[in-house]
Amino acid sequence: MTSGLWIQILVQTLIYTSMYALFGLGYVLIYRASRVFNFAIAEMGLFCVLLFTTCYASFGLGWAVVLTTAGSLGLGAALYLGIFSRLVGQEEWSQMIVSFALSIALLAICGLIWGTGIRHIDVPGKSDTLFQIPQAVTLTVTDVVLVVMGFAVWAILSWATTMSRLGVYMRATAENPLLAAQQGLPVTLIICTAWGVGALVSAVASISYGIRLQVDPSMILLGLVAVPAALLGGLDSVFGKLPGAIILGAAQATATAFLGSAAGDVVAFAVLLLVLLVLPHGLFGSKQVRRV
Amino acid sequence: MISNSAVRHTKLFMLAAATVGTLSVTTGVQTSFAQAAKPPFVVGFTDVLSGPNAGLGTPLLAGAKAYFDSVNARGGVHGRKIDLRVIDSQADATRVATSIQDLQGAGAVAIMGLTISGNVEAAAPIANRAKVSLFSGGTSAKLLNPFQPYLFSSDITTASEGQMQIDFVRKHLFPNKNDLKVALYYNQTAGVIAYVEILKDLMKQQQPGWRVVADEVVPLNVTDAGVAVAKMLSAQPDVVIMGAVDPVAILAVRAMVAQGSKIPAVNFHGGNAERTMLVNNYPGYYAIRQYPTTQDSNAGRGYAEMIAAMKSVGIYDGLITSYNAITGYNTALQITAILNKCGENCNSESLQKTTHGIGQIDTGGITFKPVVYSPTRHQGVDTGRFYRANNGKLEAVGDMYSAAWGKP
Repeated sequence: MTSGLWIQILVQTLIYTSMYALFGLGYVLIYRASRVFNFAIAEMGLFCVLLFTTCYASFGLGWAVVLTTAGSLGLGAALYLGIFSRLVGQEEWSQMIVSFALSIALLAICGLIWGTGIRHIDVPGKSDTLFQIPQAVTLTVTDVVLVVMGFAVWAILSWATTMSRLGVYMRATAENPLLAAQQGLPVTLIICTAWGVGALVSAVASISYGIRLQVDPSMILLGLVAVPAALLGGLDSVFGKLPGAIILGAAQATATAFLGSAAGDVVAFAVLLLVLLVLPHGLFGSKQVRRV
Repeated sequence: MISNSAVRHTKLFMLAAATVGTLSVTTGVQTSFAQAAKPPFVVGFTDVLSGPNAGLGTPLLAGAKAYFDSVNARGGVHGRKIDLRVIDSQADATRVATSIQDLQGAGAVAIMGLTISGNVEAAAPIANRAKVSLFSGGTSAKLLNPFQPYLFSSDITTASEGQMQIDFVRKHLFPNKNDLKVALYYNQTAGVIAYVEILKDLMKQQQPGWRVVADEVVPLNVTDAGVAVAKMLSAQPDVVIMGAVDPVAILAVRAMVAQGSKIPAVNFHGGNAERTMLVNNYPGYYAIRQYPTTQDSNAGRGYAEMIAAMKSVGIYDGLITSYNAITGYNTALQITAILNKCGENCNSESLQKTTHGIGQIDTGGITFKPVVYSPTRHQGVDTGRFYRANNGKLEAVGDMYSAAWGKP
C-alpha cells in the first residue's frame, strides 16, 4: 500500500464524513424535537437545492443563499405545521410511514415544478485548486468548503443543542411536550425551528453535492446512505453525528481501498449492525430512546 | 348610364363568383372534415417518469414529443396525426408489462421508451405476444442475440460499444502494442455489468495479449473516487476502459487528473454528455457518441432542426443537457419514417414488416450514418465516434467505428 493511497483514504474519509454528518444532523435535529424519524430529509434537500438553482439563475449567488435559507426554514416549519403537528401522540412507526409517504410526494412535487432533468450549479471558482500534493491530491474550493462546512455546522449545532437554552427546550419538548407546554415553553415554535434547521442542513449537504457534481433526482440516494451515520452516532445525539460519520466514512474508504468500491456500502451497514448489536442506542444515543 | 345588359352581366358574374366561393368553401370544409375524420396513429410511450430514475425517461419523452409535435404541425403522416399515449412505468417490471398491454389495447401501432435494460427484458415477450413493435434505447445484448421479432434497438447497444472501445484502443491509442494492461472502471448496475462481461469476452477472443490489471465496480451513489482511482492506478494500467455514467465518470477523471495520471480513459455512451467532457477538460478522456455534438457546425439540417426543437422544450442551455433527449427525438423520427412507408392503413403487424423492409432511414445528420433495419438486423444505430475535450472545445478523435450486435 503506497502512502498516496493512505492520503486518498484520508481525503475521502473527510469528504464522506462531512456529507454524512450534514444529512445525519438533519435526521437527528428533527428526531430530537419531534420524535419523528424523517425519511424525507433527502427529498427536502433536493427541494432546497432546486430552489437554489432557480434563485441563483434569477438573482445571483447572494440572493440565492438568502432565499434558499429562508425557503429551507419555511419548508421544514410548513411540513411540521401542515402534517406532523396533526400526528402528535400517534405511534412513532405511523409517523415514520407518513414521512416515507412525504418523501415520495416531495420527489414528485420537485419533478412537477422543476422537471427531472440534470442541472448544474456553475459557481465561479468552484473548481479552482486550493490545496495540492503533486501526483496525489488536489482539493478544490468546493471540496474544502464542503469539509469545513460539515465540521462547522456540527460544532455549532452541538453547542446549540447541549449548551444553549434552545437545546434544553428542544430536549424538554421532545421528552414530554405536554409538560413543556404547561411550563410555558413555545412548543410549536421550538419544533418548527428544529424542522426548519433540519431542512437547512440537508439543503447545505445537497447544495454542496450539487456544486461538486450535478443536481438530479437520484441524489436522494445520498440520504439513505447517511442513515447508518445517523444511527451509529445515536439517533438523538447531535454530538454523535461527527464520530458516527467519521467511523462510517473511514470504513467505506478503507473498504474501497482493500476490498473494492462495491464493498463500501456493504461495510458501512455491517459496521452499523455490529455497533447496534453492542450498543443498541448507538455510540452517543440516550438509553431512554426506543429504537424505530 | 349603365345598360341592362351590363347589369345582367354583373349579376351573373356575382352569382358565379358566389357559387364558386360557396363551392370552394364547402369543398374546403369537406376536405377539412375528411382530414379531421382520419383517426390518428397511436404511438405508445412507456418509461420511468417518476422517482429517483425519472431523469432517464423524462428527457426521452420530451425529445419524442418535440419530434412528434413537429410532425403533427406539418399535418401528420398520410394526413393522420400522431397521438402519443404515455404511461409511467416507474421502472417497475410489473408496471412495464401492464403498460405494454394497455398501450396495445389502446391501438398503438408501435411503442417506444424503456431505457432500463431489465425493463426491456420484461417487456419484450409481451410485445412479441401482442405483435406490437417495441423501439427501445435500452435493449440488452441478450435480447438481440438472437433478437426478438418485435423488439428493435433504436439506439446503439452497449455490446456494440464494447467492440468500438476495443477497436479505438487498438487502432487509435495503441496501434503498435499488443500486450496492454487494461483497467476496468464501471458502475454497479445490472445493465452495465452485463456489458462489461461482453467486453471481457470480446477482449479475450480478439486481444489475447491484453491483461485486466484492475477491475473497479463503483456504486452509483459514490461521492468521491480518490481511493478507487488510486487503487486502480497502482496497478499501472496502460488504459482505463470505462462503463461509467456521467457523475461517476466526472469523479473518476477528476481523481485521475488530481493524481497526476496521464493515461487515457475510454468511456461508453453513459459518460458522453458534452458537459461531462468539458468539466474536467482532460484530453485523455474519450467517450463514444452516436450523435455529433452541438459544437459540430456541419452536423446537418436534421441536427439543426433537433437543436431548435430541444430549445423549445427546454433541454438546451448552450449544450444539450440530456443524451436521452436525442435518443427520444431520434426514435420518434425512426417511427415516423416507418409509418410513412407503411402507409395510411398501417397497423402494428404491418409496421413490423415495414421495419424489416425499410432499409435506410436518413436522420439528416442526427446520427453519423443512416439508421438501418432489416430482417437480419434489429439494431438501428451502429456507428459511433469518440470525442474528447481539448482546451475547452469538443473534438472528434480518430475514425468512425461501426458494429451492429445481434443475429436472427
